[in-house]
Amino acid sequence: MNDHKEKISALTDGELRPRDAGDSLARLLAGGEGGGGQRAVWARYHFIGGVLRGEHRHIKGGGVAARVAEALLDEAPHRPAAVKRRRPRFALRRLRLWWWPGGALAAAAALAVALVVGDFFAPPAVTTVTKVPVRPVTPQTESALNAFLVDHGEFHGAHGLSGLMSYTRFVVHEEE
Amino acid sequence: MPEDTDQALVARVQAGDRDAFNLLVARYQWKIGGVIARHVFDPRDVEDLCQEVFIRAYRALPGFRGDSLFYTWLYRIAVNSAKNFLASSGRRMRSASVAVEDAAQAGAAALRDGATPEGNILQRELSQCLQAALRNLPAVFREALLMREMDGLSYDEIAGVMGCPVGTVRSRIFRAREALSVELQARGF
Repeated sequence: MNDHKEKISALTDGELRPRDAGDSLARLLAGGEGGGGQRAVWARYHFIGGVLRGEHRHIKGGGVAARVAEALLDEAPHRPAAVKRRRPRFALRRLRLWWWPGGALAAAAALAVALVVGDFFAPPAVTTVTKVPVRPVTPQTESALNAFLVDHGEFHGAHGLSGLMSYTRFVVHEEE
Repeated sequence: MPEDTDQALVARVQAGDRDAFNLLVARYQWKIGGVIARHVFDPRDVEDLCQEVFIRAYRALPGFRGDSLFYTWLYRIAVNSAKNFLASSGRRMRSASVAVEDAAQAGAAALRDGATPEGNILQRELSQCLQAALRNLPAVFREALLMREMDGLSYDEIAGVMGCPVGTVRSRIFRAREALSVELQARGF
């Protein structure tokens, strides 16, 4: 019995590792018969420390332990699944990637790809062709229009085409 | 198995052993009472807040990931609770100031001081009883216990000071505690 108490005394001081406490810690944790006595010893040793340090002046009698224990009867025991375990560091870094500007860029690129691919696999839209009457263009109008397009062709350098070619639309003509 | 007693107890509580939390309360209630008493002066409020701190801690324990020591975590809850209490009681005191002034003649100061005369006498008797029991201990037991409890020295450090093996320190501290425990129980504490 004294050996158990001595181990509890060392546990009280944090001077005995739980793995070395063996049966003493198991009894302490078990509570109930036998363990109840161990718990009383644990509480008393801490009480003595509290009185020696003068901490007992702030808490009367046996302290608030009994009140807390009573209040906890209304509380549901924790479920292991509800406990948030410490996550590995790499997972934390991966989470933080989204706050990094590069991460945001990558997210934007992924979204763009998703839109393009989604559009590619989308069912083809039904299009109808309507005939637009073409008015004959006079040589003067054509010349003026060409001059205007050439003069404002600097915005089409990105296509790698220059002059009127950047305005060219290719169409297929099917003979009826 | 965790290396630390607190870690072992916390793991038990997180696994659903509600009773293991009572061991943590028994361990830290005095310290937490002292922490709260540095902010809040009414002993009744200190006790109520102390209880509240532990209940809050129990509820928040699933979120405790062990990034800090359990006591450090508990300490933060205690300080925050005391500050919140002061903020809210400040509002209450302002609104009740008239009533307090009216009651001044009836000994409002005594009402604010939650420590009853009987309570003070009991605390003093307890301290005196323990001091007397300490004096009756063999010097090596007393010194070992006081170095641990009052100075916070580790067993290794105490062994260095006393010039004896760590096992002897452990035994002396245990024997001192047991002797004090028997004496306190005999006096009804």
